[in-house]
Amino acid sequence: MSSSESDDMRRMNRRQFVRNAGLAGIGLTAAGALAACGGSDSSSSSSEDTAAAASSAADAPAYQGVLRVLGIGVDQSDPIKAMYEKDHPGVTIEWTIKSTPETTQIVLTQPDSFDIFSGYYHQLDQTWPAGNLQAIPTSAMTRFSEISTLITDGYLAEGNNPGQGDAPYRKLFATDNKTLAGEEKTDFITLVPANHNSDSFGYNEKELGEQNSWAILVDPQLKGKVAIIDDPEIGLIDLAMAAEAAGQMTFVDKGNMTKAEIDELMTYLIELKKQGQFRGFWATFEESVNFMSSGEVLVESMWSPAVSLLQAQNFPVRYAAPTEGYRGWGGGNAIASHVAEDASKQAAALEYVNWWNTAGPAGNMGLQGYYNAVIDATAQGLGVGSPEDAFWLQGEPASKMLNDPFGQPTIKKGTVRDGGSYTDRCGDFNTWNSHMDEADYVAQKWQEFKSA
Amino acid sequence: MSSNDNHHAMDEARAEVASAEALESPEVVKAATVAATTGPRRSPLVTLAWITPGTIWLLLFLIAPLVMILLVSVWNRTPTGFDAFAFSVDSYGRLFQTSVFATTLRDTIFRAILVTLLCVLIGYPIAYYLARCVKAVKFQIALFIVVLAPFWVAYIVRIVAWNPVLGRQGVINYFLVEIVGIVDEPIDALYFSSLAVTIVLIQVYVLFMVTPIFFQLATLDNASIEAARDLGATPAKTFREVVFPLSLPGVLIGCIFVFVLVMGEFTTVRLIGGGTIQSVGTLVYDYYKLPDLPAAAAGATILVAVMTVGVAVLLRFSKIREVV
Repeated sequence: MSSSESDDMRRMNRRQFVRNAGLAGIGLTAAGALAACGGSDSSSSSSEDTAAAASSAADAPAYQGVLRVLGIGVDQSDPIKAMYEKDHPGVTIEWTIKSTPETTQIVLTQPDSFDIFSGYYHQLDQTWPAGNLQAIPTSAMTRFSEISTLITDGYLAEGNNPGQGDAPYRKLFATDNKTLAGEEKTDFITLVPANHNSDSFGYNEKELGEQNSWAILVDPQLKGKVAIIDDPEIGLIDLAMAAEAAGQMTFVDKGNMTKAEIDELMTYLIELKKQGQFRGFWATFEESVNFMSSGEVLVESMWSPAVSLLQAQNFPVRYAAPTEGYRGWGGGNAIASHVAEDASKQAAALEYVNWWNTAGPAGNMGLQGYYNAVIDATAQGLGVGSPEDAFWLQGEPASKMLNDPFGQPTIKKGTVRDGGSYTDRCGDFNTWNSHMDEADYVAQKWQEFKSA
Repeated sequence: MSSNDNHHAMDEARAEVASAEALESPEVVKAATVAATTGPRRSPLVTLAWITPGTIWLLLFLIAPLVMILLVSVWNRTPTGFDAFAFSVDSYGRLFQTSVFATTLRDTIFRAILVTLLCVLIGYPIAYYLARCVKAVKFQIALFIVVLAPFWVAYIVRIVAWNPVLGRQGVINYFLVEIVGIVDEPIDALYFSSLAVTIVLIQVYVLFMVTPIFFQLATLDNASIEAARDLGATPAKTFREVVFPLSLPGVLIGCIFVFVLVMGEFTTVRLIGGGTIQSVGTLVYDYYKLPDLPAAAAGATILVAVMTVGVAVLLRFSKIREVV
């Protein structure tokens, strides 16, 4: 097997979210159900216990064994695993890769099946009250003071628009293992912040020219050439921003719509769907790439590495810098409550969550366009002043061909990152990926929409 | 011992003979037949030993999960899963809150019946050709392996490979737009559509129809066909009155396979439908993700019930044919 083939395979491993989930999904219903019987009240240790565990963890013998990390695969690659295991002899990392909703499900119903949850802030409204994840004292974090104000306060620079919905600063702080503190700052945090990014839509520049308004998703001229991510907590927000940008309707809070707003938006979208506006709904990274590269769509919800992947193949896709602002997302790592029972494992878990704010993993993710909550860690990982730093963080033209973390040439010389520098791309958010109070209703309506 | 078992024993004996070409005398066949039909009676303990592993397997991996799914479907939903032993049928109510589930159930049943019928129409001639027209056993086996060829490729690859055929820039659309020029724009209905899902399901499952029909036809008793000819039946009439009725058990088994598999389909519908086509399977998955496990279990229960009814109808139909 050539090295490029094995690289490809690694790449596939990283991106097999729903493929894993697919068939196993239905079967797991019963398994998840069984676990729920014993799982729901198994962990209710208070934040004081956690604090005690965290401080006593320092004295524990070094952990030797497996750390099981549950996530959706974005930050779970072979290079990351190898990097961690090399720095931490005796610790083996085991990835469990599922789709986002399935990770929520597992946190709720199988809390003993993982040690670390690599999740998103918009999953916390649903997962945190179960008490299956630890509130981590800020004092146990090695670089807490360097966390970007975007994550702790909602803006990079005073006056930036923090955006609606589940922005990290609204879900970062916890009162205890079961209660979120909202925008009030406490001494405990939920997910130790790791990666975040500003998402928009990808479009075929050759066919459409430059496009920078979310309104294009609902533009009737693009009938049958639009795809949306099949996850209402992301896809519906893209469509709400589109409807608002097109002047169809307004919202009080797109991250937490009222039933009336959901009804109005869905009526509009179902009508558009019936007219053939939406070509498809993608569920996996690969699907989003295939939709665009096979010409099935000209514009769709997309993730940054999917755009880079196609650009590297000379496909004329661009990642919009929307005038209405980006759709943000932020994620990090939490420690499962059961881990606190084992002091040495607790120490290893804390080490893992803190390790994410260091140069190694931050640089790996930085080469795919993601930002670390400690942005200096990204810069250090890319190499301060390096061509990678200049391209990914400073918004300058690539001075040479740049590789992705798997060694594949991805960014051509002369390319400028769509949206520009870190401060440009993280200075204007419209809405963040969000879990709404009316999530059940949204899910029901989303089904109707997809079936219309 | 019934005549059916006798047939079976003879078939086995004949297969052995075919594999060992040197032993082709009628005496050997007769001896084998006698041996197979008059074996020593087994003690009940031996019988028990034989059925125990299968029974345990079925109890653990079929009956237990089914009971669990049924139970979960009538337990109360909570944010962390469900409240065991708090019974309610709300989950079924949630499924029918909107018309989506009912419509999808109807479409899924319709699609399963359509795919099953088309698989019979496509699969039967293939099986017939292999079993009755190809004389040499080695060619039969070789051609059967060719028929199996799609199974050598991973399931996902077989599905994704349809994109360059049916897609907007696929072979068919290219042919229609660029070469023949009968349409100006590519036809979207060829992909990410109900039509596409039906086509691909047939391709994926037709082998489950071909295989049982092939084995049934290959082991038909030639004497009955010769008898029909001797009595003056035309080839068409021989087929209609003798071959086809005798092959029905194979058709029935194929129909059960295809119907049940298509009813439970999830991945093909998801990928070829591009997320715009639903089946009961995709809806159950949606509820599972929510997570609303009781509603997912309720959907699965309804699916199993419909499949059971479908299989029962097929079996009933076949009994009627046997009596006639």
